[in-house]
Amino acid sequence: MANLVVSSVCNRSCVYCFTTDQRRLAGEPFLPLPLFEERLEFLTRSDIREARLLGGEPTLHPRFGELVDLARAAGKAVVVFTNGLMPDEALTRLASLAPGECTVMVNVTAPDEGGASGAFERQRATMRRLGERALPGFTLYRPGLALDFLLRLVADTGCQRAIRLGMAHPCLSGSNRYLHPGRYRAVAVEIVRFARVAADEGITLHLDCGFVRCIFADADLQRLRDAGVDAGWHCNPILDVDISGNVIHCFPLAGLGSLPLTAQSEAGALRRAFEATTGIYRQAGVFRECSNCHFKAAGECPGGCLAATIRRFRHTPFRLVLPRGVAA
Amino acid sequence: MMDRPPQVYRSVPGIAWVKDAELTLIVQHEEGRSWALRGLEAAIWDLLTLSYSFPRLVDAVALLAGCEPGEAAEIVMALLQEWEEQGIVCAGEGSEGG
Repeated sequence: MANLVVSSVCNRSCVYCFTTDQRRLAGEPFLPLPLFEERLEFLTRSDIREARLLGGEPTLHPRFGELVDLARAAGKAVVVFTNGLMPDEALTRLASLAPGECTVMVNVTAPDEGGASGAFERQRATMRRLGERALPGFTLYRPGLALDFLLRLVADTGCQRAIRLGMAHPCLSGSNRYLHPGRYRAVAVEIVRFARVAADEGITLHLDCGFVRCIFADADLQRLRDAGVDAGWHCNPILDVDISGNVIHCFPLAGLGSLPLTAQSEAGALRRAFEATTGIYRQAGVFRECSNCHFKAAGECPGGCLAATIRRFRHTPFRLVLPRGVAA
Repeated sequence: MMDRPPQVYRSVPGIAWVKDAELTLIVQHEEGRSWALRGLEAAIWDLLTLSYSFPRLVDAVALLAGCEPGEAAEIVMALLQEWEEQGIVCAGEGSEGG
């Protein structure tokens, strides 16, 4: 898996957006087509069959349709990460693809959180046009968010009968609103309840990266399995390739550094390089208990989001003055 | 004759640390090195990060280790020298002020 940033421009300003650090590094607003072709060659060289387009808002790319055409010509299935507020031309192009060739992950705004912008209504209209190509996603940035509207959204739009739930992770700079690990357990309780309601309607949940095994009690974990929830505990180098050709571990860790994409770059080697760089931090986790947790020791859980883990580290320098007569 | 300036131990620039339930993990990102401190070592590191003065640090270590202040001072000095060899702290001259 690797994601290609094709636009640093976005038409939303979500409080939890974790692209802030990465977008500070962006040069051009949109990825030129010749560079997109080089990105596709990188995917092919890495035996990656999906072209995963993201931004900013990727569909704002003025030549978005041509990006899709190039990806299809290279034999890639197209995956688009969007807020659903896309130009009609982009929507028409995506809707023309066969469902097996295209998945559009629509990160949905709760109806009561979109303000007066009517964002939710527009997202719903986009999903109706896309039908089963659309997969709704929702970002949990605090406990207490009402989720049941997502079930009605699935029923209304004819999209895939699945919902992708992600936790809002911090940028290393901490400039976005994110779900603090201290609130994970409260959110876990809500997910378990929601999973059961969703399963009753034939809708399954997919949990995105950064969830932690221990936030679910054993009985709740069984309830998730019974509800068919795709729950995994993972935090790996996703590999996001930005417009300038910098490869980063993932958006939240953009501040940790990047590697250049070259004509020889291959995803496996890049991933291993990031794993080597970040390995020292992996000994810890998002909780104080992670470093001696048996789930972590057994490799079942990596200890949650690495960006949240690294934000626990302190850097404040200290000094100790020795009294005269005490030799250093 | 001028007095020599006091000896000072400082944390090495570029290191970061996190205090976990049973250990303190110290990392140096640039060199990809890490150290796990446990027990009394972790406690001494914690007190250093809280800006304890040397006399207060020795008193605390004496309490934690159940020993006399003189022995506690030796423990602290031995640990600081060990950390200096490992590259976690560095020794130098400095002022007593700040």
